[in-house]
Amino acid sequence: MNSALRVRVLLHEAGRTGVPVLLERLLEWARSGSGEPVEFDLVVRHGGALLPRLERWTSTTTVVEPGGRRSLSDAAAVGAALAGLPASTTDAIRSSRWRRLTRHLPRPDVVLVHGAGAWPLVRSVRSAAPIVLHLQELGVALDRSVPRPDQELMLRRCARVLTVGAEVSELARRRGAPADRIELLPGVADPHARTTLSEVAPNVVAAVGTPGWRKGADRFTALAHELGRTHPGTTCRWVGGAPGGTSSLAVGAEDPVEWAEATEDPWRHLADVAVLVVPSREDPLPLVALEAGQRGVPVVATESGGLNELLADGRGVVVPQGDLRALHRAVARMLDEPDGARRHGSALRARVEACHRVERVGPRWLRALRDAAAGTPPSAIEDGERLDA
Amino acid sequence: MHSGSYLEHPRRTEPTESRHVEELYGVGRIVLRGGTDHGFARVILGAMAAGPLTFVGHDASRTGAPMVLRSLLSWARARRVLGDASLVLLRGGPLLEDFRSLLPTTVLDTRVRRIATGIAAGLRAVAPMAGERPAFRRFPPAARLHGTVVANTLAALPVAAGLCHRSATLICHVHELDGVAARILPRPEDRREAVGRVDHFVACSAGVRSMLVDRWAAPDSKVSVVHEFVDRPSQRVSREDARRRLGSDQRTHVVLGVGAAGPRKGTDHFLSLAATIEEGRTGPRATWVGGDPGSAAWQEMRHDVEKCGLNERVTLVPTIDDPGIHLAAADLLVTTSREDPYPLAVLEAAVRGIPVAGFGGSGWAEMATEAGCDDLVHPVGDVLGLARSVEELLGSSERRAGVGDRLAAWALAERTTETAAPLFWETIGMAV
Repeated sequence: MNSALRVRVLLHEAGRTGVPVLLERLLEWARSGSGEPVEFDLVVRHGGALLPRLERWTSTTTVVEPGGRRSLSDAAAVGAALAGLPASTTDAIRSSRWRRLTRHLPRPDVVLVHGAGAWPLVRSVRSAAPIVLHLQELGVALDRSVPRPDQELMLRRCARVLTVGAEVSELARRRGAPADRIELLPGVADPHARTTLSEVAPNVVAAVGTPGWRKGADRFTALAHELGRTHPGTTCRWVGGAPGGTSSLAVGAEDPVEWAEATEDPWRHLADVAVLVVPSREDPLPLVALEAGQRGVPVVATESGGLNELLADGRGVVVPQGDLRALHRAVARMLDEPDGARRHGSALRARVEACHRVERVGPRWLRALRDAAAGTPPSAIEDGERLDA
Repeated sequence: MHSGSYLEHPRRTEPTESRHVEELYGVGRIVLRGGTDHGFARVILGAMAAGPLTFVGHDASRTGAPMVLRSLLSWARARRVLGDASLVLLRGGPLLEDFRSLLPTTVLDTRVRRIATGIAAGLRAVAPMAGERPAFRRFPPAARLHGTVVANTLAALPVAAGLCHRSATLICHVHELDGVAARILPRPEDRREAVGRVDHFVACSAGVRSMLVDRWAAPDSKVSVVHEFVDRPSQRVSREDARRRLGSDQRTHVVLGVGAAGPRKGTDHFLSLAATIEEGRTGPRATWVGGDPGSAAWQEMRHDVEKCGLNERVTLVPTIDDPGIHLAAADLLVTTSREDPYPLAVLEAAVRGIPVAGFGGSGWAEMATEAGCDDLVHPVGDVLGLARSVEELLGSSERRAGVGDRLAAWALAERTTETAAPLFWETIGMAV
């Protein structure tokens, strides 16, 4: 019997988005289904709606930035930045507070940085425990999380870089991660999904996510306008809230999309969906595509991250980035040919069942953490073999 | 001599200026749209007698509202009706020297002030119990202005209102629609205060008027519409010359977009359009002018260009002093804004006879109706519908010329500084 592995998990925020949701699925499996002794101390920079669920699987949870207002040190850091002081000053102010808040935590065997957005929290860790980075970002998101000049330093400092798809692996290599430390870890489907839909309507097209540039809400809107002409009566629904801020439409502007608020279970709004569209510009491996697969819902996506692999060989349709006409043709075909659409959905369901169940992915994740803690080099298994194993 | 400090009031306008009024307008009268005949000279005289005139602007960037203000002030200075007016700017920018050449100009923003603002922001952040910061600012009584204060944008209004003495007349020239306005005056009580404190609003489009009257409950009588306007092009640069100067191919069609990079101006839509429109083997070129290469929005544009395989077809040009050369080189301007009350880029294209197509969430819908080009208006985000209009226009030089001529006839008759600035000036006078 192994001694309990102590993992310090660093997370940028605990909102109801892909990165925290994936963590929750892995934590739940590790604590309730793996049968292995493992303890997690979660340090999260900003709280969020998912925090209570994460807390169920961790030994301790520390939120280092209070919600709704700034901490005194954060305010001082903001003031310093506005006053034109160098970034190192603001970093030092913030990290001193984080270290103070996490001083009581047990020394970890390994530090898991869950998403590059959590990388700044590494400064809160006093010990020299090995670091595993679970990279879930593509280029633009990575650049926003960690300044480009610091990325190589980050990637070289990690004992392991777990990636959610081949494109992320390639990005990690290009940005400086040693190839032998990169390990592909597929996304995890929802372990509690109801795998059948109650009342599929032939004319409901949906997308899910935070509506904005990255998830391609503008492309979905363009698709909705065109479907309004070619397939009158089609409902185009986006689950995840309406565009806000500078992405809001002018008051009174014609809007062909139904914007539904983000909820704990987006599939409550998607019980009747005929086609799921993933029009993202950057999406390493959207969990919603896996969840669609669990329900046999056909998926049409733009080329991005792990979607190309997931939807290959008739498991869905992938169109080139920016090709709105191809996107419309693919969705229209799904609506016009429901038998073909069902075949895509069934093939995707089989793939998700084979490769993306937490029982398959979880052991690899835990092994990577344990190996990193023990200083064992990563095993040399090709990405493709890992996925199809 | 006016020192430029906002604590000092500009001198009162001397009535001798009045002798220029008839010289300026010839007959001394002007007929407003709708056929109302106003004694314009009388109105101007009345305004000048009411005390000094202070404009308050948010900055001196090369964006819509400051450009309109510069045109207005240049026109007024040339006709010697500006008197001793002065300008207070919250921040500087590339137009600052132009403004300084026209009238005494004070910039409030300084490094010390920025640091103070930073510290204040930090303190507010840790003391939420103090409540949200009110949008409207307070200044010491000694700093307050008499006469007439014109806030050139809603963004300048909170400071302009704070600077107003209670005897002063406060006018606000509104260039913003709901989305931007909500960021400046986020709370309903801020908007109510704006309606209560402003004596008269000048809306830059019917859409803005509708926001003020229908959604902010401003009394109808308190709101006038003076549409945005642009200067007549000082010289006509031919398409061929412009392309020679830019080193561009003479044969390939060029579709142009102009504005600060980001979702409000719809750069995402513009690049989707560029990826969609088809013409010949390679498709037309698309050029976007405007944006900061260090910004997140620029990074997103670069991403789209690369991932959509548009490197050979799309040119991104950061904000430049004079985008006129790009307008002259273009075959077509597209306006892809999600919200834009009355885009100046469209007027700049129109006065040059360049055809325009675009989304109706912007003032383009209003403009196209006025110019008789409704068929070139598409719902916001309808990229494929817009792409078909663009392809049709690119496919027919006659159609392009027809649309360009219609737009030019309308804009040159109704939306140039010579036509619109007197209306604006008269509105100020009538409000006073």
